[in-house]
Parts: sequence; C-alpha cells; structure tokens
Amino acid sequence: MAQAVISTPITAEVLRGNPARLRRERRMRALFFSAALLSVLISIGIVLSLLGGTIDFLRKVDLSTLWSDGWLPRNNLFDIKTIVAGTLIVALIAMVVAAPLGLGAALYLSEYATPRARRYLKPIIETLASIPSVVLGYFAIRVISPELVQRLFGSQVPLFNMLAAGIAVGLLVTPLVASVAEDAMHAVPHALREASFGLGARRRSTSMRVVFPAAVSGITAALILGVSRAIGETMIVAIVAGGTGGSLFTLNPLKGGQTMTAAIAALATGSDQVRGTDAAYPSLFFVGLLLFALTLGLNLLSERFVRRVRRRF
Amino acid sequence: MAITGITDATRAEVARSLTGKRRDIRETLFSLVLLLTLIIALAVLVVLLFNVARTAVPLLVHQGGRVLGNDYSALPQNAGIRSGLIGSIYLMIFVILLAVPLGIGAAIYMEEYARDTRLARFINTNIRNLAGVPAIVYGILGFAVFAQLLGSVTGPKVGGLSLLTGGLTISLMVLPIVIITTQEALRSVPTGIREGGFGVGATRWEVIRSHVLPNAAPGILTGSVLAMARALGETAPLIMVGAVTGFLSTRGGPLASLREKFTALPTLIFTYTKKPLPELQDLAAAAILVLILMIFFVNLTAILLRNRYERKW
Amino acid sequence: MSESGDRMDTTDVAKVDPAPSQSEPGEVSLTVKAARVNKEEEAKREVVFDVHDAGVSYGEFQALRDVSLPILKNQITALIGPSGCGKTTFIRCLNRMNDLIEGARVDGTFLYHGIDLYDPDVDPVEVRRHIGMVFQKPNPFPKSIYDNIAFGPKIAGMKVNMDDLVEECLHRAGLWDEVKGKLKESGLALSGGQQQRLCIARAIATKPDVILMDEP
Repeated sequence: MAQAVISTPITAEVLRGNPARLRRERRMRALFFSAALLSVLISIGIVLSLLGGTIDFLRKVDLSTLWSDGWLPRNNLFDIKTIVAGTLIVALIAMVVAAPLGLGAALYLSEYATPRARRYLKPIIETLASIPSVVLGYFAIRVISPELVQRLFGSQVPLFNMLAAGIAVGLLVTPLVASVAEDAMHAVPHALREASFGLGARRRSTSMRVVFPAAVSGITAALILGVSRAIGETMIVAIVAGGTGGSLFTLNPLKGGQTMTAAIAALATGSDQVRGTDAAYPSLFFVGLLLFALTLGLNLLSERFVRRVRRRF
Repeated sequence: MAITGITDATRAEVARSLTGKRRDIRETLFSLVLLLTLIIALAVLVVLLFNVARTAVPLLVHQGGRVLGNDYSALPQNAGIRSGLIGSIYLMIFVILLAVPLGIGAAIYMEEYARDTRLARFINTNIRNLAGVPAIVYGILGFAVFAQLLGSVTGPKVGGLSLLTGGLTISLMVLPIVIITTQEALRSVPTGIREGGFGVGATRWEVIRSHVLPNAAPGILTGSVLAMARALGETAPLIMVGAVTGFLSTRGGPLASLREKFTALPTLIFTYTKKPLPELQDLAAAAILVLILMIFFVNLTAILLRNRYERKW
Repeated sequence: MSESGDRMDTTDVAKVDPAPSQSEPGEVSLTVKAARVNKEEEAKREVVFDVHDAGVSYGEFQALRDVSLPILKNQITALIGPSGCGKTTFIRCLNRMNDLIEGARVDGTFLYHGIDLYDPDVDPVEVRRHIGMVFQKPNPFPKSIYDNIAFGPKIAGMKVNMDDLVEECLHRAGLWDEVKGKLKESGLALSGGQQQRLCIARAIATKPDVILMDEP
C-alpha cells in the first residue's frame, strides 16, 4: 500500500497554524458575540427607559390621584385600579373564549385527527396566529360589537365595550393556546395511550384521563402564555374597549373601560397628551413598567411549566 | 372440536358484549364537540375574511385607482392607502437588512460558540423573556431611545418620529423571534456533520459556513419569515413612534424619507377604523385586504424558498 | 486479544497482519510472536506519538487513566478492548477532538513528532489537518460525493488538481468503481458501507500524516 507523502516535515511552527486563518476565526467569533450581546442591551434599554420615565412621573404626580375615580389623565386622575381592572376583565373574557376553543381544538388535533389531517391543519392554525391584531380590532368594532354584543344585550350597551374587546382578544389568542397545548399533548409518549387502549378504554377516556393529565404542564404553559398575550394586546382594546379619554372605574364588561395597554397608546397618540400638566405624559412609562413586570412574571412562570414538561419526557 | 362446558347462552352473551355498543354515544358526542371547537376556531378566520372582502373588493375594483393611489385623507373621496403600503414595504426591508442578520449572528454565537457558562445561560433566558414582552413596550423603548435620545440623528425635523426610528424599533421587536427560531434550526443539525468537518481540519467558522448553515437554512428561513409577518402586522410599537399621523413623504426616494414622518398599513387601518364615518372605515377594510395579501405572499415565498433549499439530501 | 478493565498496558502495541480469521487464543500467540521477532527493527523505527500518563475525565467521570505508549511510524497500531474501556476517548486525544466536548479534561503528555500536542501555541485545527479521523458512525457531509472529498483539501488551501485527487482517494478507499459515474450525487444516498468508505476517502484527501480510525 503506497504511503501518503508529506511535503513539509511536522514542526512546532507548522502546528501553530495559519495566522490569517486564525485571525479571521477570531474576528467572526467576536462578530457573533456582539450580536448576542445586543439582546442584553435591549433588555437594559427597556428597563432603563421604563424606570427613568416612572421616576419622572412619580415625582410630578400627586400620589393621591393614584387611587381615585378613574383613569382620566386629562383631568389629572391616574387611578391604577381602573386600568388594571380593565386589563384583567378583558383578559378574563379572552381566556373564557380561548381556553375551551384552543384546548378543544388541540385535543382534537392531537388525539382524533388523522396524521394527514394534522399535517394540514396544524400549519393553518399557525397561520391564524399571524393575523394582525388590528384586523381583529376592525372585526370587533364592525361585527362583534354591533352584531353580537349589542344584539344579545340590548341597545343600552355602548358600541365601545369591554366584552367585545374580550371576545376579539380571545379569538386572537386561541391559535396560540391551541398550538402550544397541541405540542404538549402530542409529546405524550404513545406508550401511555397504548396502555390505556389495552385496558379497553376508549378515546374519550384516554384523552381526558391519560393524555390531558400527562400534558398538564404544557397545557398550563399554553394558558399562561395566552393570558400574557391577552394582557399585552393593545390594538383591539384601543379600538373597541373604550374611548380614548380614559374611563371611570368599572367592573362591568358591558361598559367601556381602559386597559393598561390602551392607556399607553392613548397617551402616545396625543389624545390624552395635554402638554400643560406635567404628569400626564410620563404616566405612560409608569404604566409600561407595570405592564412589563406583569408579563415578565407570567412568562417566567410559564417557562417553569415548560421546563417541567421537558424533564418528564 | 367442541369445548365442553360452554353453553349456548354463554356464547351468546360473549358475542353480544364483544360486538354490541360499537358506537358509544358519549364517545361520538365528545369527538363532535371537539371537532366543533376546531371548526369554530377556523371559521372565525373565514367569517372575518369574508366580511372584509365583502367591503374591500368592491371598493378596490371600482375605485382601486383612488384607493391605491392616494394617501391618507379625512375626506372619503380623497382617501387612499398608498402611503401605508409604501411604509410597510420600507419597514419590511428594515427587518430583512437589520433584524435577520443580527438575529442569525446572535443565534450562531449561542449555539455554536458559547460554552455553558452563567453568562450564556443568562443571555438565553434573556432572549426568551424578550420574546414575551408586549409589543407596546418595545414601542416605549423605541420612543425613549430612538426618538427622544437620538432624535437629532434619526429625525431632526420631526422630533425623532421618523421612518428610521420606526424601522429600528420594529427590528428590535422581531429580533428575539429570529434568534429563537434560528437556534432551533441550528440545534437540529446532526452533530456528526460538525465532527466530520472538524475531523478534516476545518475551523469552527468553516464548519458553520460550509455545513451547518446550509443544513439549517430551511429552518432559518422559516424563522425570518415569521419575523417579517410579525413586522408587517404589528401596530402598537409604530403608534408609539409617531406613525399614526398617516403622512409619509415619498419625494426623493426611500433614503430621503428615512428621517421624515412615516406610516404603515397597520397604523392606517387603525386610524381609518377609528373614524366614525363608514366610508372611511371601508378604507380600513381595503387596507386589511392588502395587508393580508402581503403576509400571505411573504409566507408563500418562504415556503417556496424552503422547498428549494430542502433538497434531496 | 482482550484487555479487561480500563487500563491498557504498553504491551498492547501489536502488528496486525491480514491473517485469515482465527480464534482468539491463536491470535494472541501470533501477534506476540510477531512483536518479539521485530524488536530490533522496531528500535530503528521513528516514534510518531509518545504518550505518557494520559488521562481523560468528563466532569466527575474518569474515562481514562495512566495510559502510556509509543506509536511507531509506518505501522498499523490497533487498540483492542471491551466496549466502554476508553478506546475512542484515547484516540480522540490524539487529534484534539476531545477539545470539542464540553467539560472534558485531558491530562498527561502527548508528544507528536516530539512536539507537545497540547501546547497552547498549537492550533488544534492545524493538528487535525495532519492527523485525520474516520469515525465510528459514518458521517458524510450532506453534499455530493465529490464535494465530500474536496472539502478538506480546499479549506487547507492545497493547490492540487481536485479531480485527480478525488479520483485517487476514491481508488484507495475502494469506492471508485462503484461511484465513478455518480460523483455529483449526494453522499447520503450511498449504503452504510459505502458511506464509511467515502469517509475514509475524505480522511485521506488532506494527505494526513496519521489516520485515526474508530472501529471503521
């Protein structure tokens, strides 16, 4: 067998490698590292801008107005509970819509649909998830509010109400819940299902008693993600949940209200921006901070559940 | 051969229990209910599209020239969506040029270069949290940093509320999506390929460039498309950086209008939807149709490109 | 010849002749005899690798311990042992492949032509150009057969006629006749055995000084 011939003898010099190649390698690594570091910068930027504006706000505001009759920046009223209540009501209604629809669709796709059907339906659901929220906002004020809500509950109900907003947000969030929950259910090992079928159980019992509990971590993660998205949603509520002047405190979904996100949007689009009073404008940073903290907490929580799913399987 | 001890009665009973009740009524109902949830979730999209099309198609067919040729106006007979269309295209270009390369670079670092240190894990968690931050908070960030802080650079004549600011803000918002989806794509490349590359004496960058990236290309492409679809549809951050005015100066080409006021399709939809005049709301429908078509085409291009890359290997 | 446990003696160096399949006891006596006969010849041969007190640990787990042996030039050296005793771990030390494993620590001295392989000045990428490897599981690149083989020489900047080089490597790996018309086809389309021969051809394309083969 002919031997391979090395043209250069192996010396320490040779093994040091090609300097140009090494230089290029170092440069590429540094380049990619700075890209990764950018993400950290973004987070720092978010926190700093929110904090800065909040401090500014807290210095200018009359703290007693943080607990008053309503969120009406033009009148210097910054009642926190109004906007928090608005956010929570809309989110609650949204989940009442999204949870059954999303989980039901997920269960069907995972346990009942044929693999071929699933191959087509799953991408459709993910496409649904990319419907822009403004589009649903248009739908809410053109169709849901007049045709559904006002018809059901009578003409006393104003066009701008939180129920219509909640329903639309629910429709927005449903594909997200369905997709994540379906992934969780589908990841349940087939062996568990076979064990159940082997004992004579039918699909319904298997789905509800075996698959669902096994996937409960992923399902919880899906629901929490849904809530987080619903809380962070801006455009639908800005269009249909209430007028832009703000709102009085209310817990009635058939009335107009103000969510945290809509409040921020209103302050930015100038309708609430009264340049005279100092506290109105920086209040958007304050609300932004609350919103950020809330969604961050929810997301960290949901991640804990996702990690539990991974650990089990 | 007759088995002794088995009477006719027993045989009949066994036969009955094995063949009877093939259809459990509760089983069928259950699966129907689930199917219904799936259908409702999908049907909403259909109803929405139908509703939009019913308004938009006649408008575009009969008055397409005006609708597509004119800019925003409060007078129905002069109103159009052209400025939004152009603005959205500009923003997409921003995402392609800025967010996609940066996101891929960051993902490459996290998956191929970074060692499992505290810093690396922190960056990872950070990126995941950023993905869950509400869009409007990114708007606050963009407003605080690009409009206020860097206003003299990004848009001196318009207080920083320029196309440049909008593009940067949207790019920051979709960056986490690109990073996460690219990471997934890189992770799914089998390690054997990398080892083979190292085995013949390639540097890390050479292995990534020649083997890992081409292999992960379909997944990376999908992620970029997801980001672009998000960028097209997101409104809240644009509102925070001044896109609601509806004006976009298109004189002098794209580079000149970088530092001027801008708008995009989603914000136009928002503005028109909030108008009390139905004729103006109809324009929102037209804009929605155009937007959905754009998103659809972006998705389609990605699928085609992905199929071309996912060759017979 | 089986070595038990996780220690390898220095007498493990064996000359493997292409002998007809024999039962194990027969093999033992054959190889030992061969070594003894050629001891004088061996003393004249150049030492390519000189390993002293090598050890590898992955975190808490000690995979290899106290291995010392010389590996001579122009000779096939076989490491034989039960599965899990550290053969792969050891040979991966010789071309710095263990560098790629997170948490792996390599101790001991590895001299290659008298140079310390693990000297901080030594570029592991350059080492792998001169010390090639064929892995246990065939891992051809998802590229054409031609590009599989051409990749290594190309990035090493070898100025050769690539077509000739590819053909030569395929001949020597015993694959040429089976693929000569299909060089542009995917390497993954070959059968398992063919893929491994492709990997062998790929390994010899950079004209390495040493080839490490992990249960090929």
